[in-house]
Amino acid sequence: MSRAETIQKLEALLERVRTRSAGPRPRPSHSPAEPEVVEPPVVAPELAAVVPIAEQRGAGEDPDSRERLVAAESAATETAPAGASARGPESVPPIDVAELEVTAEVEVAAEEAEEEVEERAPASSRRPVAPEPEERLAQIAFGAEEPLQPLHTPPPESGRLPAAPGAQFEDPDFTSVRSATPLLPRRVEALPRGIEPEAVRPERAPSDAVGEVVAEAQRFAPQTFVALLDASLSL
Amino acid sequence: MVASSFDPTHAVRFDLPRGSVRTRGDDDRVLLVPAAALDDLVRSAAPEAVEVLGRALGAAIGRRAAARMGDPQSASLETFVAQLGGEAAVAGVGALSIERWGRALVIVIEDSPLVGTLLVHTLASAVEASSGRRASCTLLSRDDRIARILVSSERAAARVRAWIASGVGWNEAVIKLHEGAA
Repeated sequence: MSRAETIQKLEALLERVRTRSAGPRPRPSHSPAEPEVVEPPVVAPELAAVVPIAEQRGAGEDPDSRERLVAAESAATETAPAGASARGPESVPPIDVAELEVTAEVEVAAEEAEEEVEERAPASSRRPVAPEPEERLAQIAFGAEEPLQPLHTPPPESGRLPAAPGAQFEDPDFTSVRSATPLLPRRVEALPRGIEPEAVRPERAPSDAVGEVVAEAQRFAPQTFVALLDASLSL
Repeated sequence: MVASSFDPTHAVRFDLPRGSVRTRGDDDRVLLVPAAALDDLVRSAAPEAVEVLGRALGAAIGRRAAARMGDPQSASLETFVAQLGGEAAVAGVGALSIERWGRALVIVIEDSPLVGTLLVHTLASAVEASSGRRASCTLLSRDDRIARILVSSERAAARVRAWIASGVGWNEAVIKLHEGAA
């Protein structure tokens, strides 16, 4: 490849870079959590191809520095603010457009990653940082069924724990075995006043063989009133 | 044959032209006396006078009942009680029946207008007059409607009165009366 062809190719490349830099930049589709994998689009391989050309340059003209100067002017006119452009092209260090693009994209990706990192709950936390919006609206509109558990609660105090609420025996399959708790005086006072006894009565079938008669209960059977009167008078 | 039921037909005859009332059987002349007048008399009279009055009233009832039975000694319990109770009802003493507590004879009077002491003497005399036996009566209990009177010997009556006075229930006293008896 001759030198003129190289220069022409570089100018075409520069023109393409300018065109790309003037247009809207496509968003990278890669994950913001991996900003390191962003590759410079096309400049790097072609610059790598320039390296052997630089080895072939002559002593009078440095085409690489010229290309850098042109690229820096375009980059300065497009990216630098107005105050910065007043300093002149001599004060601006040579900027590689590919580096600018890569750096800008890395910064944008880093900012997006930071925003998403801020919205995400920490991996070590089991509780959500904020409730879901729909749940939040439902709680505001209809009230929460259960009080919201504070995100950060103090550790339990030492000492006796409060009595647990009474168990509900509505489940017919409730067959758990419990150990009897001692009946403390304060538990007796806590009993309801209106207690109705629950009577358990055995079933008694009528039977005529319950008693065994060993003698006649009463032999006296007067036939006349006078006989009864005599018996009563003899007492 | 003596009927087991009481026949009240013409048990009392009212002779309005002569202004007299007579009972059937002994043809004795009787007097319709207000019960309140008898109560006032019993409260104001001496106990002996009350006993005399009661025995007179009971004797008349017993004699009429015996006349109806013919042979009271052989009369059954039902017949005896029916005739004696019928005559007592005609006299206005109350509804008479008997209870047998073991060997003890207890007369039950319902809705009697007579006070207790007068009633006891009346019934004792009625039993004596109808049966020909000497009997002593003791008031066991009485409420607004029912009075129970034990018919016994004088000795047994004294024991029962002592037990009741000491706080023993009348039914327990009757049961105790049988202790030691043959």
